[in-house]
Amino acid sequence: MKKKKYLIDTTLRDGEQSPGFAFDCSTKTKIATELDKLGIYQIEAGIPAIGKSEKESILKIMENRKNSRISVWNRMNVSDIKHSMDCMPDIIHISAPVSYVQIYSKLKKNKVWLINTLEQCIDFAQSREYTVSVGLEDASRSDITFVNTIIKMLASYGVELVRYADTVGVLTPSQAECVVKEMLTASNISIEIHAHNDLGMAVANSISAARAGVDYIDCTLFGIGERAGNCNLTHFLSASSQCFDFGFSLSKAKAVEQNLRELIIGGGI
Amino acid sequence: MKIIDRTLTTLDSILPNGKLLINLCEKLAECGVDFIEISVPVLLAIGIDNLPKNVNYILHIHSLDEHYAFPQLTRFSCSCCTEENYNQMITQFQVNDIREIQKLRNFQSKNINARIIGLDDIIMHDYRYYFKILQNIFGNNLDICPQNKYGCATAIAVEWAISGGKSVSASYSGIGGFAPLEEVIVALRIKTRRKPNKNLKTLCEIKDIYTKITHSVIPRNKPVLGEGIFVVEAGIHTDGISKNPLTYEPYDPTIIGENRSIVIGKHSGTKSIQMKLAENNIPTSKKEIPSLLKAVQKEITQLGRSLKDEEFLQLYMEVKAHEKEKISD
Repeated sequence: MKKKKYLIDTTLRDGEQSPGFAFDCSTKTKIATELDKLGIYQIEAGIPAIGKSEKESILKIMENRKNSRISVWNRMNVSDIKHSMDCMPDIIHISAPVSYVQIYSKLKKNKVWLINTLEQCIDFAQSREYTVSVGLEDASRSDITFVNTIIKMLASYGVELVRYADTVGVLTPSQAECVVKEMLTASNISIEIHAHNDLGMAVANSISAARAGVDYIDCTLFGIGERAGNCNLTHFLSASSQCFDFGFSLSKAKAVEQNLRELIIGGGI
Repeated sequence: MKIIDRTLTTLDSILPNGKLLINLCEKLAECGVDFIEISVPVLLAIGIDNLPKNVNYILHIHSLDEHYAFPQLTRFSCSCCTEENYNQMITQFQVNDIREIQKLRNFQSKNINARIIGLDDIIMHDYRYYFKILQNIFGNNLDICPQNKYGCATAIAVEWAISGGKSVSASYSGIGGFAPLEEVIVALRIKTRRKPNKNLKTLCEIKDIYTKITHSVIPRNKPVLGEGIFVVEAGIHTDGISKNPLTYEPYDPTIIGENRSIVIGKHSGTKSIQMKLAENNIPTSKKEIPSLLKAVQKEITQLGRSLKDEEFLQLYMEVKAHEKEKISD
């Protein structure tokens, strides 16, 4: 029997973040409706903090969805989370940069600050009865001991799902396997793999992580996303459907991609 | 780790002129390829005396006897030779289902240089176990040429190197369904420090020759080669890169002869606007940014895409003029 796995589609967040893409409300809603009909477990619908039109799109997606859970992306601050609450999503996803280059160079903070701020954000969202998932941004370049410290803290807060993000796409399949096993040893929290394709290994890294015990896999339609893109939904299904059950078939996913081709990539990427 | 480039075995049906092929050989040799494998039609188009001298060649032949016709060359590859002691011959085995690997045990006692083509789905299995079996059968004389049916060929090549493999085959942009050479070279540089001082700028220079030969278009997001891979739009990324490029780049784009650039789009924020203006030598005060950002977002929502540089600058002029009017009112 094939093992059950769950797909999280981030076309409307990380996919749209790719330079050149700017989906309007009607486009976002149509994409989300198709993904919802397909049976995608979770749709990452966007970033409410961008502004009014993004919030309107997400509200419309919430209104139309029938099956999928809708999540929205937030930087690690209460202001972003308040914007998200205006959209009443199913899940508030908070992204926490965890590599040293992100903490010390970008945020210009330290690990203690990061953990305290993340705790405050989780607390704020949970106190308003939202389900929270946390993304460990740039996790593939971070210290695994620090990652494990964070996921233990997240487990203590009752966070059910943590995203391991290979933000700059430098993971290899053997590394993916190794870190997933370490994380699963440290905590029984569910893990989601978020792979980028900078070295052409997003699909292989996602497969390797799934084989090692990850139950949630992030994908985008046509593999669109920052720089060289994310894990391509149909490529991933094509490679892994022989081993995993995603609740829908590759042919159905290809049909959805075909329906949305003109809308998303027009003549090509 | 040896890298064999097989691009010139895939061009028989679109054979370009010899000059372009020579140019391609020269550039491939510069970017860290150890052997260039060519087909007989390509060799004849180039002319054996015109082959650039600074690289080693492997001639891909279809029958064992064919190699006698090319005494100037010393290495060959072929699918039909399983005889022992042909030291200059690479014998190819096509393996598209990992269950077929067990059948190769028949060759364990033979002293042959082998190449395994395929292994498309090996990532779905315990690939290190199968790599070990192959190493036990063929020892160090084994080249892996992963095929890319499932988009995993680069990963297979990299894992083969990490597992102690000594030779891997690839092709430029993955032509012919093999692992994309440029991805393998850059991944091995980052993950195993293979040839860390090699100039990889030629990887992108080859693009022009490749597109002339194949009449194909390289997608904007193609790893290593795509023209959009170092374009930044999102505010959070622009901000990060302005502080330290390492935050959101897997490697320095100048390694492959490229540069990062900023486009203004739906996800751009204050920092992106400031950087774009600075890029155009336009001094700004913090006061101007919010109204410009608002105008930018409005325009992008209407257009449904990012702004071209000239559109952004036009918008800037309009906002500035409007602000001046307000002051004079």
